[in-house]
Amino acid sequence: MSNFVTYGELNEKNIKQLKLLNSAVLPARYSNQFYLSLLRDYDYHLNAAFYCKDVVVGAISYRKERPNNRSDQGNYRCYILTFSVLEAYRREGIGSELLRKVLNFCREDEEIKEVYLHVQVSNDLAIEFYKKFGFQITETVKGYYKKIDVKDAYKLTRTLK
Amino acid sequence: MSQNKLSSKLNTLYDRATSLYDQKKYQLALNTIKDVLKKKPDHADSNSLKGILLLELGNQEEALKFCKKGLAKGITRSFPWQAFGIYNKKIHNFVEACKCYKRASNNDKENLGLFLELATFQFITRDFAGYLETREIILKKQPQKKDNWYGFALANHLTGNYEMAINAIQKYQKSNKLLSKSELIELTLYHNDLIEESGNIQKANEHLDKIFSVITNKSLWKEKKAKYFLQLGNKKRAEKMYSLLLEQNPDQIEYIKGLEISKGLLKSDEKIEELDTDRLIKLQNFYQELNEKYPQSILIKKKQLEISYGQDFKNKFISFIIPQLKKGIPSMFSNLLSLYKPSKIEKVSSKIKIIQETVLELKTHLESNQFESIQDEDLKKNVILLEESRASLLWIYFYLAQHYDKLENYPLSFEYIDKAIQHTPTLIDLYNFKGRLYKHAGDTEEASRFLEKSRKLDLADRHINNLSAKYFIRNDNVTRGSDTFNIFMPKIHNFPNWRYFQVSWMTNEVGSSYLRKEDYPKALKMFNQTIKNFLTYFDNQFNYHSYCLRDGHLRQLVKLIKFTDKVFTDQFFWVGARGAIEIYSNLHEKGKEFKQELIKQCEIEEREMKIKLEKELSNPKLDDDEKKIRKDDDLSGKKLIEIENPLKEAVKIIEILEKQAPDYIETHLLALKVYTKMENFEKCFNSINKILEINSNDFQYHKLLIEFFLKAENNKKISDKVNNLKKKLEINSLSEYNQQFLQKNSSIIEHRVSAAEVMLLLGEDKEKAIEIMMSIDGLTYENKRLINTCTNVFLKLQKIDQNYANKYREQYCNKFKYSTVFNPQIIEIRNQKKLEKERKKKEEEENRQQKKKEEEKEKEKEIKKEEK
Repeated sequence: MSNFVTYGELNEKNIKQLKLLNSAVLPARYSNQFYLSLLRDYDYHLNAAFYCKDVVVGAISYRKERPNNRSDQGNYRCYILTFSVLEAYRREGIGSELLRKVLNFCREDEEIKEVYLHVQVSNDLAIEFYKKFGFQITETVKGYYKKIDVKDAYKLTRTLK
Repeated sequence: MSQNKLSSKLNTLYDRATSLYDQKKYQLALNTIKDVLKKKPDHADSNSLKGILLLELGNQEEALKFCKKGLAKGITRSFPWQAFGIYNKKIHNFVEACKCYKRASNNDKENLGLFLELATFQFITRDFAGYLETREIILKKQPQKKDNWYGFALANHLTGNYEMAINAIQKYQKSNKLLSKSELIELTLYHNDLIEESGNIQKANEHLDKIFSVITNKSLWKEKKAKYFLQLGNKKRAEKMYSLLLEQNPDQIEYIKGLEISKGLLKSDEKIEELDTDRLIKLQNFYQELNEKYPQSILIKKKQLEISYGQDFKNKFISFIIPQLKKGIPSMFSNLLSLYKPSKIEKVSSKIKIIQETVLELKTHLESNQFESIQDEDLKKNVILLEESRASLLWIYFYLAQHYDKLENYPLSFEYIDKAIQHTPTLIDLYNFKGRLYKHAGDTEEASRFLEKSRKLDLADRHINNLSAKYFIRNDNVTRGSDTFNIFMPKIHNFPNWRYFQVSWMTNEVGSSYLRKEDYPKALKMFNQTIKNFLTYFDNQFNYHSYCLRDGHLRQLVKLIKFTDKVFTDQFFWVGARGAIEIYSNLHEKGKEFKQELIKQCEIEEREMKIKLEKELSNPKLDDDEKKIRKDDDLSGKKLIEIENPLKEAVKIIEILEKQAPDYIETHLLALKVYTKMENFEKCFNSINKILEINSNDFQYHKLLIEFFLKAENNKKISDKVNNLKKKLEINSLSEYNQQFLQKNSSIIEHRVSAAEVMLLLGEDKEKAIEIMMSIDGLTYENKRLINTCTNVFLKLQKIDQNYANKYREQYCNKFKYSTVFNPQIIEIRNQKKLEKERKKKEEEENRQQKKKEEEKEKEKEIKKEEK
């Protein structure tokens, strides 16, 4: 990997760059509201961007989620909301680097017991990629996406501890 | 004179008034002095004091009256002269002020303060002989003070008495061993400068050796040393010194030039293109060695590109761009901009073609992704190198976009910038550039949209923020522009309170926008602010002069002289001056009724603005300073256009230009234009002579000259002078002269247009004149870009005859297909699309709400069913 690559945090001054990146890569559209919410709950939302020189070429946003039930107390989960790398910069290990960063974050946090995310059922490349990192299909969600052609999604999960 | 004596009672009143004046309580002081004048209406000093008090309170006309009365009653006294000096200082007439202080000090030789003021004025008006005289008097009166020694030395320096200047500082240095270290260094360096300027380089060099240990800035010492060696003809040692300096900083052009000269490679006034092959090769080898020694220096590489040609240039160009493309350096294109300068020498102008071919070649190979088939081994190596970085192709696209923009090939430029954006949509510079490209191609609206886009991508970037503001205003959206600009301004300096911030570019942009809309009062207000900013820079000399003398920064003071001598040649000042003069001329042209109409409008606007301002000022959170900044007694610019004679105001600006920028042709063009309008023919002759010295083939001058003749011919008093001028210019008939001008410059659009306009002025064949104006093909142009030239022609045609303008537009709408001037339908279509989009949004919203309602209804039904 070239040595011009650095990590950066996204903030309210440059959040539009994340939107631009995602809209260039992801089929699903997210509203401004969504991006603002990424910044708002700082404790639970985290973003990492991958820079090539000063340009964002890949980014991942994730959050730490409270358990659903009281009985599950202490069993937090990590959910990956968006994850994208520009077409021209793929197959350079940028995606792996970003995902590894998230997994490391989760490993260091005692409370987090699993990581999960949603993927279009037709996106074989992505599914293949996640499987390499130990993710497994745990659920099929019908009609997860509303405005794109393939509406169904797999839920992929990786347990940590 | 008895009238100038006051009784003791009145005297105390007078003293009170002066002390109130010193405390800046002008209204109170005025009331007091009025009491004195009731009893003694002819008392000179009181009249003068009243004058300057009125001046402080903003009543300039009355102020002049009383200052003059004071003078008339007490011409042998000193205070009336001093007061008149203060008056002249306020109206920026420093030469007159200087004379006044001279008289004042003559009348009161004991008053040291007057001499100090006089010296400052002499310094500012560059009356160095007078300055020396005054400084000598001051020194004799008060030899114990340091400032006076410094002032005396400086005065001697400025009048060329270097020996005396050196003596003065040495004398002072000897009597004062307690100088601070920094002051000692400054003084020592100044001492050396003095010897150098006196022309005795040998002595300066010896002195420099002696002071080595004192000087802490060793680079400066080395620079001086190298320069002296060079001047003394000791090239070997100069070369050594410059080599040492270059080791410290290989990106310093002075060092490289010094090395060039000391090696005898290039004389300081020689052009590279004129070197013979032998010497060129020597120069190239020299830079090759430097490049090997300092591979990190961009400057050396740039120089290498400038002095190499053909295949050699191509190789150097490739080795320059490969690392830059790989690293992704946004400034790469601007680094190479000097290669794009137009030149008549083939080997120079062909570089652009080489660049284009080379970059296109790299692009093709990178796109195709098949390197194995490349025959050329070097090329293959380079392409593989580039392939290592995914962003290489992006930077190639970006470079090509900028390259074609520079060559005014907008369609190709758009093609490449779009490719770049597709490759990496997150690179902000691309949107920036696309905006600029739209501006160049003649679409300010789209330009502004892209700048706004890039601003939103990085809200923390002040530079982009201000660019976006500028582009809004270029698109005549002043409100959004100033709002955007205000984001990075402290709240209290928000628009329109920029007076204290002196942002001339912004006042210029806003003023130009108002001028385009023919909103003269607001435009004038802005341009006036720019002019005021520069006058303030000039006035700073008053404070800086005494500050520098007090602290011994004599070298800085000499620099200050050079700076202020040039401050009015700054392009930002010119925009303001040009704009203001244009408005004054237009006001004159359009007559009194037009002015009355403007004033009426101003009054209406002012009412609203006043209410708004009062509301703001009533905010209890504001402190006095903030209130002062917000206060404005001419909110709408009404006072600026209410003037009796607009041309007189224009002359005020022209006089500044004539004094401060006499070498600029535009100074005299503006002067000729205004003086012709005023029918001040004496001044016209003057301006014409100045223009002839600079460039007698200027296209603006040509039209102005004919306009002048048309007016001057009616005036019999000056017919001799007019005929003389005609003889000098070899003019038999104006028409013939015009045709000669046209023939001589038939390949330049601007000159053709000027000649055609003259034909119309002389009442010649309109069709023919228009035909001359309308042609483009195969012609050159003076403007930076053809589109700007043609847009100007279009605007001129519009004023002559809309039909011709339409024809012109039809003829060239395809050539300038992005320009909204040539293709107004672009904006129409855009607006329609906008409306449609809004309509669709509305529809969708309505649909959604209806659906919601239906769903709710159904739910209710279901609930009801269940209940049943």
